[in-house]
Amino acid sequence: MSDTVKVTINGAEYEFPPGLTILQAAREVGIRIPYFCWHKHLSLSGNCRMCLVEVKPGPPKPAIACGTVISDGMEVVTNSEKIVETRKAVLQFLLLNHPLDCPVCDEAYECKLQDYVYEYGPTVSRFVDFHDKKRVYKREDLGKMWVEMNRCIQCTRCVRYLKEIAGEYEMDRTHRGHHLKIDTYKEAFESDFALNAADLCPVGALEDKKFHFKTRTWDLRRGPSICPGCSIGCNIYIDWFGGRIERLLPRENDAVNACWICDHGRHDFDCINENRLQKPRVRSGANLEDARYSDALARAKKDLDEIRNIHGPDAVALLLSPRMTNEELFLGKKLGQVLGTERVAFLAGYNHRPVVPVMSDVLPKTLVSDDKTPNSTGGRLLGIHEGKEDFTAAHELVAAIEDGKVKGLMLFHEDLSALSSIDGAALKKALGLLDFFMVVAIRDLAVAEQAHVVLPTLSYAEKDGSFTNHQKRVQRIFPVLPPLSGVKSELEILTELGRMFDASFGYENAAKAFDAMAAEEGAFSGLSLEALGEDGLEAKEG
Amino acid sequence: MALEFSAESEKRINEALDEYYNTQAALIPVLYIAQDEFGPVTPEVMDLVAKRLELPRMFVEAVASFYTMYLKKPFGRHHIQVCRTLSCHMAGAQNIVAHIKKKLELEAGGVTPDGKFSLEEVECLAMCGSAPAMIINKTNYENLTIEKVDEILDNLD
Amino acid sequence: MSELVLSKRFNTPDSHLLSTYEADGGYQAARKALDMTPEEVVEEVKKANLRGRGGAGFPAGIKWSFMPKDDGKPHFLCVNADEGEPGTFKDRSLMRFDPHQLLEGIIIGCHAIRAEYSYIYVRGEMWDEKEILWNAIRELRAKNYLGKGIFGTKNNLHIAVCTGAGAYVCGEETAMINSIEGKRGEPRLKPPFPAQVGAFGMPTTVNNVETISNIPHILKNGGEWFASLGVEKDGGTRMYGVSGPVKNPGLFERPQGYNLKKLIFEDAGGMLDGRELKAVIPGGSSCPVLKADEIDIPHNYDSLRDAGSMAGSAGVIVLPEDACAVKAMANLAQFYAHESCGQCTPCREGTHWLNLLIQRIEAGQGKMEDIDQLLQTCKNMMGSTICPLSDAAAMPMEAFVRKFRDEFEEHVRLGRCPRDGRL
Repeated sequence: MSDTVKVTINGAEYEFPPGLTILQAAREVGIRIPYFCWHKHLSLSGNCRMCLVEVKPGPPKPAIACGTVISDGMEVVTNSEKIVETRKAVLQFLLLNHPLDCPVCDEAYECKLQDYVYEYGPTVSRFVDFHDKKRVYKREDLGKMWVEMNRCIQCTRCVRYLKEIAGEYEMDRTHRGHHLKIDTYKEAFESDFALNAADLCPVGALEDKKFHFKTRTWDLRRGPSICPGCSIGCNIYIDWFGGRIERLLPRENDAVNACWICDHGRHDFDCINENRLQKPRVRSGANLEDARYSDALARAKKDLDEIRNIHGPDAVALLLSPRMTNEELFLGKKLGQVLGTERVAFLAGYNHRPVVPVMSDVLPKTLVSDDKTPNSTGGRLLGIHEGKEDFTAAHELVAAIEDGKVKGLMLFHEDLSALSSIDGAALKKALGLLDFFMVVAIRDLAVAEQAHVVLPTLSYAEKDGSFTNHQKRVQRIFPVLPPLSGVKSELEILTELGRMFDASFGYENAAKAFDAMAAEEGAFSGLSLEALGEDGLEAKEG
Repeated sequence: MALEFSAESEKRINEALDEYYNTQAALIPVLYIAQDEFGPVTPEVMDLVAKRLELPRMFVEAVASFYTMYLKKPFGRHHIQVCRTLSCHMAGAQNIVAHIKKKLELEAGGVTPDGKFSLEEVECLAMCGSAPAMIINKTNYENLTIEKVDEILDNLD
Repeated sequence: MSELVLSKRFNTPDSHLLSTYEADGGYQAARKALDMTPEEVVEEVKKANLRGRGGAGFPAGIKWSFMPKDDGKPHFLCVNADEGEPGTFKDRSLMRFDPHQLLEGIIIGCHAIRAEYSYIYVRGEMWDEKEILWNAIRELRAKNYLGKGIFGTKNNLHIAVCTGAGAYVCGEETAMINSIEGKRGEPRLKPPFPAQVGAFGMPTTVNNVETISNIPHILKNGGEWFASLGVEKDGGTRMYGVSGPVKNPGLFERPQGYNLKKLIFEDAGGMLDGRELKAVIPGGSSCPVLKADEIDIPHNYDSLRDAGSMAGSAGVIVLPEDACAVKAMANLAQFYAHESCGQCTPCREGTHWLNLLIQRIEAGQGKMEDIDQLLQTCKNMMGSTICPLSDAAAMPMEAFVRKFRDEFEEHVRLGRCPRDGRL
């Protein structure tokens, strides 16, 4: 058997690797065949009949492009008058019972039905004087989703997705014929992966409640990012409007998350939109008062110098966070070196699940990690101390403070009081013993009330950099949202601190910091932020 | 209280499981067994069938709702199914239905208040050569006339 | 009277019992076949020119020859007894009056395709027939005609009756396979064809009850004898069913290619009460209607195809002149709308749409453009779905509109049914 098959599409001859379907082959050479029900990760259902094409040799009736595998000598016609008529007919059939409520449909602008009707031309409403005969269902509430069956085109993508990918068979077709309905026996969806089904819905039949009526999709701006919700590092799009995230969607990356994200990650963006720390604060007696970054950092410099002079450099500790980017962690490590302290640690999360490619099994086993932070692996690859699993860097730190060995602490993001393994009263007492305590975070942390300096910083959605996921895949985040006014990134904060202690890091941006990291840290050698692109690259063994 | 199959139904279920290639293949007959014992195939009945056959609950509902002989609404002790399709219609099935409706004061899809009769118009029963035809529960009646229907219905208890 | 093959024993007392069947020479053909190789059995059936009696008319021997050899998988023979095509009532009698004829055919067929499992898929409403078949199977099991090492050979065979539950579409072979597996009766995409991936993912052949019932006779008397009963490319006899207002409706076993007009006017006794013949649906409701002047033709696959219709299941429905053609088609349109599985867009929406339109016309509420819309919708439904149900709904509609357009227009013009909906 030869390595390629020759196929004629619309009169032009092409060569393809064997095994492709007509739909895939046509797509490779830029010929679009419309479809609703087909999806590359789902089983073939072939029910929408939108992708019919003429195929020779074969029976006289048209064949579905999604389900017909190419063979040598095959002649395919995708644009004949007959085929265009067939597609128009399918659209007309679908519109028979469709409510045409595009003005109030969240899917508008992203709707395949809308697109194809636009492409294939207007059609006369067949339901003139038949309005009372339209199929009408009440909107159903499924917890996280609305089900608008009136808009449904019965393509069964949602059904196949939930059964085959999410592994949670909670939805299927019920009844038959004209009454065929996508239904569930449940009151609400329990699946943590249900909302991918709403993404797959080619029309507005399944709607994410959190996004419902929030904004029109054409007003949204979009940028690529990485979900910071756990160590899987699902590739996402941030859709935003007016400085606010309106929704998060999966961004396709077959090496990581395919086309899917979990519902928790998808909905976890209120903390970026609301209740952000906006201004640095500096302790004045019993109160924390608003200040400028320069004043706050000057205070840090002064207090840290005192501690170092009296107690030695090891009395200063940096507790970094796996929520920081690789570049920020690298700079944190450097700052530790500049300060001459050995006490640089980070609070790594642990993934107790096996690392398996996402498509090999159903999602609950592959798409959620126990490690609820995005960059533990980055910290490990940089060799930053993390303590033992059952006795973390945080315990060691608290013990060192109690022993009087640590007098100054710079804490990034981690709300130690939220750690269930640390006794709250003991922690509070220990933090009270510190001569200097600085907190860097995007929102107010409970421990910050004992801080001497609190510095707001930017979220993952507003800054450049990279995370390293549990597979050691280095993935880039981008400054998608405009930064919160007047707030500095950790990169800037760390660089500024370094300068105060007479070290010139000179990394004015993440790309430069990455280059320095690549030069010094073997795990990242040969990589650059630019080279990561949107899909990321594997780090070397640490 | 959750439903349970009787010993008699259990016996029939086990016989079905012996005859078919796998458990799933027994679903269609087991739904009949459930309907024989409990009446309409309600969510509770589907729960029980799913549990008994260790099949996904959604699957049971998808299947049960596809087939029209699994009744979702209450039906009478004598469930009258009159064929409405072409050959029976030409042979007067409409008159038969009208007569039954009048005689039992019953609409198609309804049940008499005493629960004795229910009526349904159904599609072709493959008795076109002896039309009009009907089935009451599991018994066929062919070459129907008004008089014959009266006699049949009057003799049911 | 021509030679009876399938219905010869219908009037024998206790014809359904093994004892009477064996007394009439039953199961000798099975013994003979089991001594032959599977290939030899297939050859004999090919010689018989036996075409599938379910409606599509595919040559049975050729269908059997598609089954793989030495693939190490269990094979299945599924017998289609989901008789539900309006106008068709032959399989019911074949199962009721001669279940052992069918079972012997299954034993032979299973040998030919190397199947160890056979399921007879009987439509749900046929309670008596299911019981008759079960009893017959029990008789066979008791004599070790079924089970392990049947008839002293190395063949094993398990036969069971599967039940439908009210879905016409399960008469489509892949829908039937899904239903046998306990699933929704939705037709599957082809390829893969059942001979590769059928019931439970295994190689499977699906044959109609009448097709299989012929098998013992072919083995007993030879393929050539069987072929000689019919016409070229159509061997054997057919169980013609005649329904509608004729004097003597019912089943008539006649040679393939029997004259359709003769069937109605001689065998079925002609029209009842002096009514005139208007039209004939020659092979179950899915076959395009023939007008009264189009029926003086042989009833077999090729001849009816040439006449623009189909032999289908040979269920002949007779329409009288005083019946309303629109009402007749409206009756069938309701049937198809009720029976579409709903998978494919054109069928799910189209069957319902046709029904709405034609009911409106029949009720006198239609418009002239509705009539063209019926035709356009039919065109859009044909050849564009997974299974033929969409075509089966569209073909008769298209023929009714084309051949009785004057009646459709009259409904619109008068604003009522000129025959008051009489059938």
